[in-house]
Amino acid sequence: MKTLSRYWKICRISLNNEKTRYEYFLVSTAQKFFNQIFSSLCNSPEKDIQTTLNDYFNCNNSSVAKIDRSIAGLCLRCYVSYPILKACQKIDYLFAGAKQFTYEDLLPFVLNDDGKTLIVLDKNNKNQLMVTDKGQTITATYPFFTVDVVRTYQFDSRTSMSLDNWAYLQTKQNREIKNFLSEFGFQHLSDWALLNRARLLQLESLSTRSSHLIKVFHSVYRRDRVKQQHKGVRRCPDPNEAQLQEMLVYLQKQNIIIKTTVELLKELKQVAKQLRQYDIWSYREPLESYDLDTDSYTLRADLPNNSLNELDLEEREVLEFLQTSLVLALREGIEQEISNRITKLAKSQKYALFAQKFIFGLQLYYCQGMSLSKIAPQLGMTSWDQARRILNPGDLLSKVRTLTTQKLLDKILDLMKSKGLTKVPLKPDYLKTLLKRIEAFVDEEIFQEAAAEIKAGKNRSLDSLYAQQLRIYSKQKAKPIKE
Amino acid sequence: MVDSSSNSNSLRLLLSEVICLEAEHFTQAKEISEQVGTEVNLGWQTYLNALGLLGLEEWLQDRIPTQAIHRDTNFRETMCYLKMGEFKYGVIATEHLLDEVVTVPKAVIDKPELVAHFYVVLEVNEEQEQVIFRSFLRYDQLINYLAKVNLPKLQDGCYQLPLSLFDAEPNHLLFYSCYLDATTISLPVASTQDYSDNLLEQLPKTRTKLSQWLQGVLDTGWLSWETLFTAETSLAWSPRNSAEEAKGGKLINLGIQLGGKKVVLLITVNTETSQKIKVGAQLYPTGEEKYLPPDLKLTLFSKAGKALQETQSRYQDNYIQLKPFKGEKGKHFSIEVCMHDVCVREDFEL
Repeated sequence: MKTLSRYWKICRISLNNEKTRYEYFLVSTAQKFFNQIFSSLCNSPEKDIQTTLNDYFNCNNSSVAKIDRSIAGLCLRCYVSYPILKACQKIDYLFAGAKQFTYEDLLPFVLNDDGKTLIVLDKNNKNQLMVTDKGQTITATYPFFTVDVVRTYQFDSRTSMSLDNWAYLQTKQNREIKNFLSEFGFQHLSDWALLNRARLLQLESLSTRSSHLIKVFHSVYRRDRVKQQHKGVRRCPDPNEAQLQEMLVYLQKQNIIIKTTVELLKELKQVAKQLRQYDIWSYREPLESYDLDTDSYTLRADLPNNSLNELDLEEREVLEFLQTSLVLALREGIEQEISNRITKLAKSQKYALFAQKFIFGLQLYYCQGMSLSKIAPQLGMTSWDQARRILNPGDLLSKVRTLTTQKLLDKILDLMKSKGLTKVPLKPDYLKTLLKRIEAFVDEEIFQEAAAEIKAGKNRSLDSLYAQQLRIYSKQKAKPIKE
Repeated sequence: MVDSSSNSNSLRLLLSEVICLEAEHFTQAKEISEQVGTEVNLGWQTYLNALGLLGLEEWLQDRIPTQAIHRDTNFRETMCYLKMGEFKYGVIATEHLLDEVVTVPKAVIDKPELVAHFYVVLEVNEEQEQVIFRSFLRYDQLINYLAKVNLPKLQDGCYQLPLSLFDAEPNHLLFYSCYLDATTISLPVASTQDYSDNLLEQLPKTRTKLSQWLQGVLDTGWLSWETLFTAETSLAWSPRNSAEEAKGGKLINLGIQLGGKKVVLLITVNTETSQKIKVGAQLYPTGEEKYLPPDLKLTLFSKAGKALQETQSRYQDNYIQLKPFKGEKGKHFSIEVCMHDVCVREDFEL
């Protein structure tokens, strides 16, 4: 589905927003301009709209005023700000683990467009020029990343990828982002863990020698690693002398002569250093399907985009229905999941002690806004990691979301049954369409905000609908803890 | 204010499904990989697979406590599996997905005994002692994708598939498991029974000679699979082509019963051994139609006229198919397409 407001609302860095470091900012000049040009064309394909805007933006003769050119560009800058944000979130998501950054740290590199400054390109289509109030142009001091994305995109090529995907790839390729990721992305991983997790695709981008070194490292270190984890050794330790000796023998068979284990260790560390470059890990080609005939990338066929009409229910009817059932489903979901969790803890060998403290822990987190590392000693836990495993606010949220979705799904299926619309057996694609509709709704109403607020760093405020309901519930259930 | 269009699916970028591994998981995984692993790197992959499997089991059990989950004890180097109810889950374990590439062994898609209803991508962070449920794909979606695109390149007998092809919402796996009938995701079935015994002798009629297809000769009336995608028939679905097999399609006209619309009977033959041929039969809609009309029957008959297999289209079936069967060269059989009492019968010789 197309949302035209993407052409006049820009996603930009915000200093005022308490929950996230970005905001959606309405650019009224862009809105006005867009409506003037497209008043009758709103149903045009996305690509046509973008090409038209770009034609204005790039028009180098005097028929279009510089101001109009720059505003057309502003519409496109608004548009690409969304995939840029999403790309940062995606990078965060893909890194996972105990990485020491969040997507918010990446935003300043790429989401640096203020949504106000008027920009056109110079004649060579290279440099960004600022348009002054008097309609003159001067070289821009701070080039915007959004403008670079638009500038480098091939609007006229029918086979090129979508502007969304282009923006995604450009964000991943952004030099500052890459530098940042090379510095902080793998900080939490020891050299050995890093060598250990390299896959074939990564080896391809290294020299033959480095690649052999890693393969030999894998064959010895991985074999022994299975036994170590078993014994409870968590961090990947330095390879010991015997392991290094064994590696030397294997390397010799491949005609790689390294004299001493000290030298080998040094070389392995050198390879690990290379692996800290983000470039090695991200894929070099865009993963759009490649068409041999035209020698170009074509758009990936998106998953079937069924509309609600196929569900035989009216949009309005579904919305009203979801709306009335939502809060109750959320409350039931919270109640059910917290009780599941307490039961599970009580049954666990390791964590049974904490079952009765669970609600208190939630209160500390959601009512008093304490961090997990501060909560841990309050509940008699040994570490942040233990607090995370036991309280796990993210997992709780995720499960409540599952239950809320399920309750709404049940209700909708019942509704359809009562209207004689259910198809038996239910088809996978049909179920998926239904689920996506419900998820889009619950996420927008509840979970998007709830997830963003627990993801936010310091000074976060937990006041989403989810947090409110959780507080109400935990206050009802709280038993005073003696100690 | 949040603009809803920009947020589709983005919640999952903020909220991953992380499964914490405990000491007992590592012990079990070690035991499993020792059962299987011979060569070191395969052993490591099996170890990761086992950790992924245990993580997935924990995840599913936690969310669907009422259903029993079974591990496929026949662990393989390529993939390991869970079974819950009628569904089979294949585990694809990987150390990381920074390259957004999912590596899937070709065999687990092609071989009926190795296929699964769902292929689940799990990122195993061994050092952090956690498994992340990244995404999954239904078998039918995977097959559709492979049919649509130029086959992605193979590396070490594996497909390199884009992560974006997979469904990043783990909840969908739960809901599929709870709300769907396993038959709605049909898997190819390994032919354990040899139907050839029933396909004896001769019938004096025009018979399509399937063994000739394998030499590149299609009988009259049959269209090559390439031709089937011309404007006339324009099959929406494009079957995969491969060197060892031959495909041919025939337009079947059931006249007024289908309002003049035609369907395509698609026969696929493979050389099984020098004497045996494997046959698959599928029925597809043509033209703009996405679905077959309901109640369309596809039946396999022995030479003696005994019905050996039958399948019937339901509401919104994209296609229907018979289980693949095998027979010796020279044997006869028939396939019939029926709509209520109107039938079209095709006779074949292997």
